[in-house]
Amino acid sequence: MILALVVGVVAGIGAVARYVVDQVVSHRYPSTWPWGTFVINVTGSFVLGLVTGLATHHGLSTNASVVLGTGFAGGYTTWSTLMLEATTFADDGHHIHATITVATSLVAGLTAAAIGLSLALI
Amino acid sequence: MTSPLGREPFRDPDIDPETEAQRAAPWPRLPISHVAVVFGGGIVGGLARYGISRGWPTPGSGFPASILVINTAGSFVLAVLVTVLAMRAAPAYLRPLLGTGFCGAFTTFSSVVTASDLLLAHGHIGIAIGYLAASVAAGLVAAYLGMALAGRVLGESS
Repeated sequence: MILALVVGVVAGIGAVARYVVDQVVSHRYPSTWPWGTFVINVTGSFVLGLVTGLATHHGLSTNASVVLGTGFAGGYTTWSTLMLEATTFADDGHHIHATITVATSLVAGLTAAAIGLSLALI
Repeated sequence: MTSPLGREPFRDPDIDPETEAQRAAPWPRLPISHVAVVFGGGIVGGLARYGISRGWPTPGSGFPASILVINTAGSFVLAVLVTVLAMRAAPAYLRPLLGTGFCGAFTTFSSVVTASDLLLAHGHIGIAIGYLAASVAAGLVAAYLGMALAGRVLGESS
């Protein structure tokens, strides 16, 4: 019960971090390309990979990995925004943009999470 | 059918667009009221995802069905929300509360790629590819249906 509340609050902190990063990225680099979501999802995937690796290989406790992984990384990264952005591109006729934003996010996210997982092996 | 979202969906001008001075400032405005509602929506979204994934856990090296359902449902809800807010006057806090906060924290990208990496590392290549493909296909269909249904319902009632 306490754990669930902590996970929820930390997910809220992750959501605020996402809001701040997205605002800063779109303010510094105004673009119709959704760079904010890309940066958020790739960095958050690295965090979850690292937390998962530390839990598997370095004895990070289950509670800590749930709070940091399910709570923070889960609240920070977002699937719904990526899908909305891709669908909006497609709806505007930019099917190639839609494909590129999903494909680059997945490739970079898979790579970032793999780097996080691998770092925990050191 | 024209886009219900208009041409520039990613600037998210909301209700009060930036002034020249705010655009030139090194840091964006981060209204505390928006931060607060993002935090509140994020807590509820994170709790909902945690509760569902606890009650419907993924067996070791299994197909993460609960996260797939969560991400698909969240993509549908966000698309409905954004379409409704683009077509109807609504309080400025609804987008950050329900979109950025709830839907953003309810759905998760990091879990999809990390689970896929682990499936790949354990040799379950078919499950990993199937999970990624299903997540993308279901998410895109859900977002499209959300936009189309909300647009049609509001278009008929206006």
